[in-house]
Amino acid sequence: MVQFAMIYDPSRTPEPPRSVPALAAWIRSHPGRFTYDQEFTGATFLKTLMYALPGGVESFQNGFDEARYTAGRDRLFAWLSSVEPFLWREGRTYPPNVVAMHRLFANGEIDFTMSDNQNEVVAKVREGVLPPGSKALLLDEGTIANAHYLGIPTNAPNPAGAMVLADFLLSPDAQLEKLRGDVWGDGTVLDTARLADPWPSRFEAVQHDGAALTLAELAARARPEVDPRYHARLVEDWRQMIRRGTR
Amino acid sequence: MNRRELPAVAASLLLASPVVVGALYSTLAPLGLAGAGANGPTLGAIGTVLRASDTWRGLGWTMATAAVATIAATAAACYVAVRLRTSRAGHVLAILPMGVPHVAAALAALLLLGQSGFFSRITYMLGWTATPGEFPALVYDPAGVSLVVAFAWKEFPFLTLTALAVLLTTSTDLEEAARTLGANSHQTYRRVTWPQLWRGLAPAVLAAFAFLIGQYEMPALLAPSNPLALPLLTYERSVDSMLARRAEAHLGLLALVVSALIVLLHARWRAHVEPEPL
Repeated sequence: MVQFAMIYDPSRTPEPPRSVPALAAWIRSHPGRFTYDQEFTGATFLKTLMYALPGGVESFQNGFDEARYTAGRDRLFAWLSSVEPFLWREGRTYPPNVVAMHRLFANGEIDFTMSDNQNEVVAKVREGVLPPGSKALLLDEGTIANAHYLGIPTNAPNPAGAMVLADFLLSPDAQLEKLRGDVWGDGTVLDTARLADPWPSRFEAVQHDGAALTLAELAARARPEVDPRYHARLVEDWRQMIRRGTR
Repeated sequence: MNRRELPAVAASLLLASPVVVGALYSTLAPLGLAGAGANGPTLGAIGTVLRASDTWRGLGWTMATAAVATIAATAAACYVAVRLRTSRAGHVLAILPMGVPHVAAALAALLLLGQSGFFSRITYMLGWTATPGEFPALVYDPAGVSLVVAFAWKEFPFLTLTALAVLLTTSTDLEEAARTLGANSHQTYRRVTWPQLWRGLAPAVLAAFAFLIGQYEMPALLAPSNPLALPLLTYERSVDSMLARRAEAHLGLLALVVSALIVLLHARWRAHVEPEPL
């Protein structure tokens, strides 16, 4: 289970924006210090904004709808256009991926990076990739959370073995190991309160990893994924209209 | 083909097989005849690629950066090779960067030329720039400055090595004759040294250019998002979340087509300037 979060350095940005309007105001008052990448993480950021601007994810649920998509996209692109001149490189180019974002952030070229994993900041600070003290930040309007899935191909030679592996990956043992910042920092899909002792306290101990966001904070702002066609269409339209600037 | 040529032909075929198989697959996939989701013959994906301005902008940008870098590297290589013809230490130094992997060269360009890179830190220390944004954008820039520099730096040792090999195997008799007949050093170079050097160096120059067109890792680290270089566009299509669009990744074949054209043009030119000996 992972949730999208922005990453900032409190020593550089003591009062970070915590909502979409505040983010727009921050970008305008700090020209050249904000951007997002061209790959999956950037797309998640865009979808988060697309949900937030009309007031919630609800209008995009229950399957793909062309009219609702077009309205959502136009609102999002109007927002992007309004801040574009104040983006890094005036929005004329975008970092290739989240690795480049982390590097630009660590070297002080931009003041925010982002991740699809709320705990990435913990792991990357430990690795020395991000500056010490960097923290994760959720927007009040909510950010996209999604679970990893395991699939067994129909032509898998050993489906029983795959099921045993899937069971193991869902076990408290594996979920706890995956949660550790020095292993992966990937959130658990288990409702830890319903596990037998001593598991709840073990999960609690790992969660309280200083820089990490609490489960309650994350749950309150978690928003679901919608029909994948929204993602595919948005990515394609962003490439044509925003990245190439043909809007 | 006679029997003695057979092993050599077989070896060439083996070496070429990944390209042949890849090109075949890349041709069949967009036609809807191979790969995931293939359903019947169609020209849809090919039409989409050939009509998309992104394709031609990407190809044009890639060819332009590769051409500028190749010309710069060729000029530098010729100059160095002629000047250092007899200097052993010079040869070693000029050829030294050849061992650096392309991806490492791109990373070095990023760390040196980026807005928070080595040179930016020097201008900051000198008080010329106050923030990274004040340093000129040489990385991810639409002109591809850092990419051209990295391309040229990587091609330079290869071309220098070739130029030296050409010069060291060419007799200096003609040059001496020209000097004796009163040509100055500039005339000697232009009329005698250069034509001989170019004839030997041309295949290497074309190989370097063709190689740069297909280069992925250097643009991946240094190129801008607009225009999107051909290899980056190809990769983006090949991992598109819409599986149907992955068929458009065959636009990577354009690089192969360009390379093939270059080889053909070179062969024609060679046949023109060097008729078969009688």
